[in-house]
Amino acid sequence: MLRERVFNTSTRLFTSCTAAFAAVIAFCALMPEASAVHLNNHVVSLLGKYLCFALLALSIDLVWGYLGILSLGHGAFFGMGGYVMGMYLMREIGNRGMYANAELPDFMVFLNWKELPWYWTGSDSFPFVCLLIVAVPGLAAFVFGLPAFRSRVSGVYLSIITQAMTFALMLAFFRNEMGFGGNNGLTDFKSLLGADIHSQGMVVTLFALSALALIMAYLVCRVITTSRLGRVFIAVRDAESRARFIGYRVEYVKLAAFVLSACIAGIGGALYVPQVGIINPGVFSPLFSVEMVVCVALGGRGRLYGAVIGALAVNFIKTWFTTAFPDIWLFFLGALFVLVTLFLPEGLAGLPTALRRRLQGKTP
Amino acid sequence: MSPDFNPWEKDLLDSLEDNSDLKDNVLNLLEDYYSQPRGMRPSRRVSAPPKNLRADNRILLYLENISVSFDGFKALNRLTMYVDEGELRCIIGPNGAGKTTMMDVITGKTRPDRGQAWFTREHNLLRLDEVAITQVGIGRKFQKPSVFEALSVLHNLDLAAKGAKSVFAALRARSCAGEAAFLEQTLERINLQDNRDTAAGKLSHGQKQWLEIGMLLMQKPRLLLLDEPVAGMSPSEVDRTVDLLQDLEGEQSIILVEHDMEFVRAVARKVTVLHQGCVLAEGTMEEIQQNPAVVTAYLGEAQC
Ligand SMILES: Nc1ncnc2c1ncn2[C@@H]1O[C@H](COP(=O)(O)OP(=O)(O)O)[C@@H](O)[C@H]1O
Ligand SMILES: [Mg+2]
Repeated sequence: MLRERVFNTSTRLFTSCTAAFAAVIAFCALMPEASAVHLNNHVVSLLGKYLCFALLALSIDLVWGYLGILSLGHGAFFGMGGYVMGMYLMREIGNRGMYANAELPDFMVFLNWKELPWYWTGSDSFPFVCLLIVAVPGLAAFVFGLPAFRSRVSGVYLSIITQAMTFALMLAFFRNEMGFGGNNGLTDFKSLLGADIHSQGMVVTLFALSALALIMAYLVCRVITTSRLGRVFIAVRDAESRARFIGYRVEYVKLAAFVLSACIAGIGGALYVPQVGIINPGVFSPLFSVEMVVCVALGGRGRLYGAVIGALAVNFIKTWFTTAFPDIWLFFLGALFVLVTLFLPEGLAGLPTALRRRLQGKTP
Repeated sequence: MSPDFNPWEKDLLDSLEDNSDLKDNVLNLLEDYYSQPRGMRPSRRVSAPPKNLRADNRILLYLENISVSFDGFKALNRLTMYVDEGELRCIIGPNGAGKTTMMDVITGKTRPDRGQAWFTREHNLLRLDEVAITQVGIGRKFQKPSVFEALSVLHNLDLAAKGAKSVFAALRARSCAGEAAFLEQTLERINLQDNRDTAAGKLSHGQKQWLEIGMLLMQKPRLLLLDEPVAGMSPSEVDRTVDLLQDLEGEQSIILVEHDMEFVRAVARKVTVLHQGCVLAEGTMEEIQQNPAVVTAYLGEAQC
């Protein structure tokens, strides 16, 4: 029953493609270095990073595509998950840091701090950190969303305040006194659960976990969006007042989706940090969040897999573009966005349908 | 020396100008009240049902002295109206008379500046929010048809069905929760049985209006508020709607706002004429048409 509901053609295609992709990459990574298909750690981590962005895009699509909540600050939740993970990795460094201080991370020693701030308590316990990875963004989304949705802030106003939220966080995290490494963020990680973070085994494991997390998050979103609750989402998106007048408490519907979405974004951030090796306040930059929204729009919103396609496509291009023509990346992204909005309103994921229509000679 | 009375207290005192005993009494009471520290003052919000809402009468909806103003403009001005259980009441009145605003007040979308609104003796509508008002049994159709365009007709009706509507209930519910027979019956009633899987956005204007009425019926409300349900319908669609309403009469109480006089004549027993935010006349269609105040209101200015 549930299986029939969740696993439609596109979901089966998505899960099998993602799993196959992950298997191939992992296989190539584990081939001997002399082999023609060998992938080095750097490439595997880069692909893992794309998967984390895909998780973030997926979480944006859940609220934007299904509920019409355009969050321009989802990078904040990604960043929170990332910082929690970063704190754990900092503690793992132990006395292998520059100052060889077993208690304090290097930047705290540098600031002449004598002890860990209270909010670093428990950051050395991996299970606790795993809990915080979803709890911190989830709670933040709850605290932010409850008053916003209750007072019926929506549309552009909501987008603006989400943007303001992430901007405020960025400014706060830039300050050294916050205790998160300020400008430089958290970096120089050595190990995760005792295993060398740069070892091939760890790199491949993190990559595989990212793929698994993406598939799981996708399925959770599918279960929800194909349930009656998913139809309530669409009802809220299409006619909010009508939904309220047939008895749905729209603010809680939005809040639930927003919190879940933040949790998914947080998981993305937590997997991103060990693969990239650094987290700094840049993740809270409004530009990053907007770029992720553009990914979703390019991929096609309201389909889940569209967001994933968009995130992968844009970041592949970005990696290439920012090495070839670093100065014009943003112009290029803007132009891409305009072109897709004009000619492919349903995004890349809508391409097959658009082509089919064109072939059948019908005007779209 | 005299405390800051709020506008309606000043109004009250002004209106008692020629009854000095009573005025002194009221003044004393008010001054006593204001002499207490702010936090100690008893709540003045009326919570007991109004006296004329006795247990033995059949009043379902009770609106008394409702005033709503937008930036000083009085959209409703001391509107008083009672609707009985089982009644089909038509509200007519020129554009801007306040008909939609009245529905907004009943459904909790707009809060009146003053007045009372009760739904039976149990529910003080001014204390409930939109969702709670829906749950006590008032369903409302908007003036502009409003359905969930991306969902099928069946899913539109299913979402509206009476039942638990919390986030978790919705997550657990299977695709078409219970009441399948009632859903079929409703589909037939609104004449959309052949369009059950059509996306609501693809329906004609008239069909959307029916679908919205169908969604209200799924909630099994005690009182249906219909704001211009036949606007933009073809004559044959209007006829079908007349049939539908006559079919519903007796099962549900209905308040119908309408411009189309033919339609009103076809369905209404009792008509209320609204003008400049208050009730100008009430009676059968014949009585209304002979009422000189109504005639002048429709021709031009009138006082109420
Ligand atoms: N939200 C609002 N803000 C300001 N004026 C409003 C608002 N809603 C209604 N009005 C005004 O109140 C009057 C009554 O409107 P309405 O109840 O829609 O009339 P009707 O439905 O009888 O045509 C109109 O003059 C309208 O302009
Ligand atoms: Mg109106």
